[in-house]
Amino acid sequence: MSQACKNTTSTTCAYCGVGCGVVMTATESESGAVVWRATGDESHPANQGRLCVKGSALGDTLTPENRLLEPSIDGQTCEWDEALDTVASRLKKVIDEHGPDAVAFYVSGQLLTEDYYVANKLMKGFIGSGNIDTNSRLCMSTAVVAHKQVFGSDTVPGCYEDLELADLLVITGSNMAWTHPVVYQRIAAAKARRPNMKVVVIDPRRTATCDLADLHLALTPGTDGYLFDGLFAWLASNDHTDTDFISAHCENFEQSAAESLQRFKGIGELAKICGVEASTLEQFFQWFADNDRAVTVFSQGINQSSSGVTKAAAILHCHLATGRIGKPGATPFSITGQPNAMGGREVGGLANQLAAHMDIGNEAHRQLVSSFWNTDRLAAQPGLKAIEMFDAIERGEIKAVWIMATNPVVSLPDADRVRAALEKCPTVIVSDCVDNSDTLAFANIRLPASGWGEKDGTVTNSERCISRQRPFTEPAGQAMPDWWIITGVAQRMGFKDAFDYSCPADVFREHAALTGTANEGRRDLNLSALATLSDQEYEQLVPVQWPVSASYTSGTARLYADGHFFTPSGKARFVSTTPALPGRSTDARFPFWLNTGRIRDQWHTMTRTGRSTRLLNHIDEPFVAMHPEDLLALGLREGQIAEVSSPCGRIHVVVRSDAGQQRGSVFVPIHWTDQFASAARVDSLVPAITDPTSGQPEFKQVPVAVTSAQCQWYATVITHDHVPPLPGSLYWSAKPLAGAQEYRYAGQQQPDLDSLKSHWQDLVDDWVSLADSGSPHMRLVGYRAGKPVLWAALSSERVSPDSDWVARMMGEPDSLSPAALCLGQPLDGADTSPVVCSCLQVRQQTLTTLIGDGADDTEEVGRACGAGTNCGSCLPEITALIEQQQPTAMEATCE
Amino acid sequence: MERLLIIGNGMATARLLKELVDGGCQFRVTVIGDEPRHAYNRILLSRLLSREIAGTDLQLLPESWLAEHNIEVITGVAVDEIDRNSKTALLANGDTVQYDQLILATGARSIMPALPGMEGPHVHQFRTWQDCEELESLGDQQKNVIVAGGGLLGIEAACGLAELGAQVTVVHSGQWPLNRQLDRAAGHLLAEALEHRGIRLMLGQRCASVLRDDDACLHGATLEDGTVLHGDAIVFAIGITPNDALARNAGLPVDHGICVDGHLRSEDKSIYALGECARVCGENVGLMEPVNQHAAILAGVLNGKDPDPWAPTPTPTRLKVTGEEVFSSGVLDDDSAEEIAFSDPVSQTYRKLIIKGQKLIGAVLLGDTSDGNWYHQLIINGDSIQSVRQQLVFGQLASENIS
Repeated sequence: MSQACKNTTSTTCAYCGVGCGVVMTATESESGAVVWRATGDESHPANQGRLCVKGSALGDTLTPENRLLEPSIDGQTCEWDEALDTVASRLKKVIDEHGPDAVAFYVSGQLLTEDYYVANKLMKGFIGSGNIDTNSRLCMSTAVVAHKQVFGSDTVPGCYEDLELADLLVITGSNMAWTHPVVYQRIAAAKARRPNMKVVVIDPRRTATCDLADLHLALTPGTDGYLFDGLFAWLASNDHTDTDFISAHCENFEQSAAESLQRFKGIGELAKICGVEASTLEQFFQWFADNDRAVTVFSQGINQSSSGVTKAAAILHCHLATGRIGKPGATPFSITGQPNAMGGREVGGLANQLAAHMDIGNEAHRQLVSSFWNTDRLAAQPGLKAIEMFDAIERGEIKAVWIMATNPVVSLPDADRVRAALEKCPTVIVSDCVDNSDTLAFANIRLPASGWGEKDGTVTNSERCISRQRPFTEPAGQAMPDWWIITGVAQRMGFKDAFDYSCPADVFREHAALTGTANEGRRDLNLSALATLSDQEYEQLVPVQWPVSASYTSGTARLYADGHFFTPSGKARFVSTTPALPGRSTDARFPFWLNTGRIRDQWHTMTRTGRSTRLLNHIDEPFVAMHPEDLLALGLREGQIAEVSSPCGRIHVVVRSDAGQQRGSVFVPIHWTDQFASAARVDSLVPAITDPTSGQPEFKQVPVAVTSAQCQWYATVITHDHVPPLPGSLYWSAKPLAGAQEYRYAGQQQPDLDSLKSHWQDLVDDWVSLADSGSPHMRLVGYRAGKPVLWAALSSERVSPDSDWVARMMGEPDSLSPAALCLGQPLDGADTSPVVCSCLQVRQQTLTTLIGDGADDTEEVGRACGAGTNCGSCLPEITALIEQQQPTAMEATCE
Repeated sequence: MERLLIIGNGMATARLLKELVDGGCQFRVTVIGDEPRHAYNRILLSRLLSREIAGTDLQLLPESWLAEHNIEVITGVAVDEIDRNSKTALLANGDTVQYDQLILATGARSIMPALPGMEGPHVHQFRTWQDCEELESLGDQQKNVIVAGGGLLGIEAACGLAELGAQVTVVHSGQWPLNRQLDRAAGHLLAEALEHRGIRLMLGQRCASVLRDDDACLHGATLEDGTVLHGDAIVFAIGITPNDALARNAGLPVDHGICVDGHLRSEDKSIYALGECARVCGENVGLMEPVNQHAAILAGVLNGKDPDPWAPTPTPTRLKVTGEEVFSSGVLDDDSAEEIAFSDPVSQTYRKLIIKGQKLIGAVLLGDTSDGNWYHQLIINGDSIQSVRQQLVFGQLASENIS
């Protein structure tokens, strides 16, 4: 390959809320195609050159397959003009006939701040409804509410550096080793430098993050509110509070503490509620009391709860009561899921926000924004939050919905009902960059949006750092940026003057100006120093943490060190944090707690990461992780198909044995959609129970039943072509390979060889076959015009070929004998064990060999084979392998 | 020094001589054979016929080796009679040869059925170098040849003839060629391959008569269903029968071969028999592997060792036709057994493994036969194959490297 450098662009990663800087470099492949390689941006404060496996694979996702390329109306492709006219006229018609609240926008933390800003401005400022909500509702709205209740503003007080500076780092409700790998690696490096730094992980599961833990509290699902309320009471009753800070900068402490103390019946009782050893709990409390430099990182495990706001507020209480806020190494820290959840919050993308961290219920704010936008239509009431919004769609009250850059049919709770609601909705407009999302199936109007790499704008990460996403490729087909699409519709709806933007910088300057308008220190969000950026300055904007104002021209790492909060009194408020158990409880019919979340190498609904073969080498099928003894009790074996069901729905997923699970508690990843599996949308199991104030759904504690799907046969099929599911299969999942697809099937009644052949007869001229009359094992290799085009194996258990190798052999005539191909793996002794290090494609067997040969730490393993030296996401697994093989060397770090 | 006389100079004899010498032979050895040549590798005749190899490739024991070990070899002379009382062999040329110990290694001959018209020219066998030369000339003249018998020898002859340009028709009583060695599927694949070589197959048929004109010139054959086949010559390869007349005439017990015990010894303590002419412990053999076992045991006995007696073991068979690799071992037909079948029409490869009680009991390979010996060993060892069952059909490398 010629390595001639064509182009290099600094941009920001498309995935999680860490917001890493990425340098994209174009090289030319032998065939002349442009190949993009992602490396960590050493100058970016978030990652300082690091990159996780998903980020490293960004180049793989820039493939043209399944991109939405042209606008269409009711199935007919059309020009942009017609599409925008139609969107505008249909929205207007609904508004004219049914009022502004009959339309809604459901947007996304994947949008850039500029996109978000104009969407919010159009809905709240000019359509005049609050009905714009975002998928951030599903991950961050709890933190937003807790921040606002306690601090008076939605402010993350600290920064990533605090996580490194802490003497005690509490990680709760986050498997950050997998979900925020770069921050996790920063912590791991800090702990390696300062071994006295203590890490406490609070999670019902023993996750990869626990590798770093000095203490793991494997608490009973849903009891974390009791834990932090109890900690607050214990701190207050044991004289571990910072009374000076409380009296100078807080209000309502006494009442709040008295309430908590009334509930607190001692560590022993609390330990029972939380299902942990009293000594473990006491250790945690004591450490919290002893360490002034304490940081509590919280994420979805706290937020996605029907009582999430009280949980998050209880965490904030513990920090306020000890005065550990806004100081180096001392802060609560809400870590966000999406690349621009923070940006969305900043522009007011949630239905109960207005704009620029101003409130829809605040008359002064409304007047300020009305005047700034020069509108007399500003929404007077908060709009419908996500779940309410789709309920209103189902009831027919919302007659037109515009969904942008998100996949609610997969990601919302009670997802089958969401599907039904969209099916009924008269006008569904979907802007997306892919043509095959589960949601797109319900769209009347499809609008091709630019994707990452094509888009131009800004995002804000978890530490309030605004970074540029810069384009480096041409938009696919007729795709256009979201801000342009929204602006085009707004102009056609009659709001030409208010949406007269020619570039994202125009939008950004307006947004920044709004944050600074009549601010004068009244509001946390202030970007006034950026309101006058020239186009060139905007283009070259370096990452900066807000506020960025006259007082803080180069940004602000920490807030609240001065004790000034954004409540009317300027003091932080202690609130009521009565803990509650999950909204539903397990029972005889649904005896397991289902927990949902991310896996290491996938992102959301896989529309991008699902394109990268290497990202599917870590985990490539939807699964339910269960404790081995639960498996035994259910008569299930690893690799079999289980049915997981709740009153809302059921899914079919592969069983994984995981001793890190508690008994009675199972985990299913959120990623798999109808595009990748027959029935694996875990959110179809989740009831639409939400936190009453934040509206955030309870994704983490769902009572479910797990049973065997009674599959008798399992098949693996690799082919160039997309093929329809095997008839009679109960389960299927798909995985892209380089230039091919891999399908896995399972079912009850086994098909015979002839029916398999006839299923694929259109693809194949000649069949190479293997059949065993004494077992269900059969294999087929299909040839067309002398070339292998299809590989299939069926057995009573999953046959696992070397899929990459088989995919390479597809279409190659005479490269090897049909028998050698039928075997499904090369016979030169090549290792086909699971890939552990996705970056360098190092497989488990290589690692176990090295470890067996004496490599006894990850560094040595890395030196020997490179595994773990690029992104480091696999280091926990390498550590686990080392510990597995050297049990004596294992430290008793985890419970 | 005792005199050891070996009657018959074929592959069994060559092997025996080698084993004897290797074991420190204490005899004066004389070999008498009726073929004009020194012992040669009969198995390679089909490849000689198809001219893939030269005659010198067939040589087994160089004359220099024989001379070096003082082995006297008389070629081109048959033995007419054995006088056990005087321990003398009477030769067709009138000579007599005394022996202390006598080995009968007279081999076998093709069965020539007693059909009308058999007498006369152009009825051939395919056993000897001379037969091979005759067939070679039929091929070179592009004659129309009928091969009676679709077993290993018949198919080898047919392929060799076809290779040389003869028009070949194989008449075979089975429903597919090599029906003793191959299952139906493999047999049909082989039939297709033979037809692809231009060989016509008349299956489920036998020759009923040889057709000759008034000048006794052969012009074809009739089959049992009345079909008339035209042809210039007929090669009979419907089976072999042991050459045991010499022993029978000498009064030794004979029953489809010269009856000997597990140490190859006949009723007469100074007479032994081995190879295709012998019936060892009630078993006839027709393949090289058991003949070699015979030779090793007999050499041990003669050299004063005490070898274990011969016992029959399953023996794999292979078809020696280049491009039509066929391997077969063990049990093919067992209704209560399980089968793993691999079929590859793309490169004309077929494998069937027969499994019973989690053990391999039979294997048929067509096309790629490279794992034949390994399967054969598995059949003999009788170990459970269950742990490699999914890989088994892919051969040794796959089974031993993948679990």
